[in-house]
Amino acid sequence: MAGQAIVMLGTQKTLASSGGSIANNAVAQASTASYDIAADGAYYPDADFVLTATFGTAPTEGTTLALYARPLDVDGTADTEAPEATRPTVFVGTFVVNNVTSAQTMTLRAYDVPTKADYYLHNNGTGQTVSSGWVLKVMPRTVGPAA
Amino acid sequence: MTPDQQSALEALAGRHLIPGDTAVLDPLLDWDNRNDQAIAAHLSIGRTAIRPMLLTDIGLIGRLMESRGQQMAESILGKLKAMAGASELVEAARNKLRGVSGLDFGDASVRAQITALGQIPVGGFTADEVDALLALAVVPDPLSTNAVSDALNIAEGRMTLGG
Repeated sequence: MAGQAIVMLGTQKTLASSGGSIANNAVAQASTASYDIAADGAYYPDADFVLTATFGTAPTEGTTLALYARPLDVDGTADTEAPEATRPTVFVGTFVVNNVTSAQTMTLRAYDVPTKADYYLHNNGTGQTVSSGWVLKVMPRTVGPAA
Repeated sequence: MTPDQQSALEALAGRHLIPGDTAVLDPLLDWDNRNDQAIAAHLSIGRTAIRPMLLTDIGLIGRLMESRGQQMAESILGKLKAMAGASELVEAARNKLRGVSGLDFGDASVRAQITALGQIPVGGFTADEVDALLALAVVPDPLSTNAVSDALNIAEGRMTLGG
């Protein structure tokens, strides 16, 4: 039916194609690409993040990997500061981990993400190290009227 | 193990690492699979701390019977009773034991008094009794995984939100 609300998805983008290892409590940037809702997301305000990661030793069940954003170009080409101890900048959400050593794929739905940002993954007390090679992707998402 | 990692772990553990530690810890410090839980568990072996431990006479009897048996409990309480007549300090301690809040076996002055009562040649505590009383406030003091992570992340130059 025309005009009814439907979910609209954009084109998935890879933010980290092979991230470096992240020890417990450490942070690593998804350094392959930033995410710009104008250039990459068709101006969709929300996003579905997908993380595929592996632990060499099983982490603590139910602990999390947190996703942070560092907004870019917030005043002309000026960026906000990179996350660091005691100032993690913009919290986006968490991926809840399973206590396995096989590759695990986790999702995170975020609403109203920054216009343009770099993304960082924080190993938030899993107790173990995220092995290098993790992959983070983002898919633009919104709700709009059916054609 | 790099010198920075070793310094960080020694500062955290409060002791020097010996070759036996290094043999255990080296494989756990792999850059791509650092196992902070196992590192913390190894460094926690034998770590203890003295904590507040308030016990009434009933609590003391229970703890001593559980850990050392009835004979030692009887002996300690009997000696306390006997020594209370000759010492105001022992009398005060005994009164605390019989009070509502109890006596704190983690308190430094109480521990010093227990040790001193073990020095009395006749009628004082035996070495085993002193050990039993001092052990009441000794508890395991494991290092937390997060403390290990924060120390190592800084030592390794990783970006960290801890510490």
